[in-house]
Amino acid sequence: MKLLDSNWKFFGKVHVFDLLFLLVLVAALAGVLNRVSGGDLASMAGGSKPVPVRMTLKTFEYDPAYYQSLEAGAELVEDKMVFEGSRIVSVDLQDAPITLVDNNGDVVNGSNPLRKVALVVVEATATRKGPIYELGKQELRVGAGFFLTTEDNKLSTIITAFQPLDEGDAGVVE
Amino acid sequence: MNTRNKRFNWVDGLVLLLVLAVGAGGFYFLQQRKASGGGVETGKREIVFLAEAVRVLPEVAASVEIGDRIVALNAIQDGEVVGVEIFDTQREAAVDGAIVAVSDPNSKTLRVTIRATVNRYGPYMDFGGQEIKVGSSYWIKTEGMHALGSVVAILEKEAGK
Repeated sequence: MKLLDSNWKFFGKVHVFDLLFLLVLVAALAGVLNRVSGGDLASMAGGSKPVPVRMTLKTFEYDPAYYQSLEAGAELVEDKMVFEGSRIVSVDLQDAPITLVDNNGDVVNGSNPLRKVALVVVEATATRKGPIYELGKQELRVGAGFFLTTEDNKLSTIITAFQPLDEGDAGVVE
Repeated sequence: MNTRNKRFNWVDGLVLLLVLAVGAGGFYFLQQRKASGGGVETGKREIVFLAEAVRVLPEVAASVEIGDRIVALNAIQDGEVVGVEIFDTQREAAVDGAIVAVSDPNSKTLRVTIRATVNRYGPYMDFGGQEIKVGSSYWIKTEGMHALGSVVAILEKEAGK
């Protein structure tokens, strides 16, 4: 039996145009699913669930002027999307420690006179997929870098504490 | 009578199912958009922000003046410099057991205040192709100079137009 017969049918059964149309529909369906899943088809498999979390972020060292717009209550965002229900709970500016060697050759520990760090507590609804928690495209894990992004800010931070807030999950990871 | 034409074609069945699935997917997508506020707000907005470039050559820092227009994407943008501050770059140093800030007269910190009309897409603000958020890197670029720096503060922000 020929693969494609004289009537343009595969094995005499399926017309080549039917097959092409089918492929186009499958591609369209995949596109819609991808869009609905926010570009992550894996999340459509039912393996993810929303989990409220609280985490503490420590910013990199910035000139104190950078913290003017960082306020409790601001929502977290990513690109053009707001994470509904997310918010900055508190902002605590702290001295940034620094170690230098002085003109006498002695090691000097002290506070950086030019820069501060901020400890920022945020709450948000993360997505859990197995052992992975994510907020948008960013993975949430103690030690991971995290862009603290609000309407006005995009500061580089490190996650220093992470706590899922739903019952039955592990407590504070620090 | 040709009974063959009355048989249900399995390919037609599949096509029907897929059309229904695509329709359901589209409906779900639209419902999700509606639930999240029906999409993002877009429009223009006037803001005033502070940008800085550190450790720039004194000649570069001296090349920007109040009133200079902002350039980006090979065009003059709807924005201008409304404030300029130039000072010696500050560094940390240890002197006699104490950590102090010292000035480096060989390089300058340039801080410019810019009034700009930005494009707003929900929480995202774009000015001449650059995202405006505190901490984001930002090219300070006028008709006379440019320097890579970052956004330090958003000083004023009017409601979206």
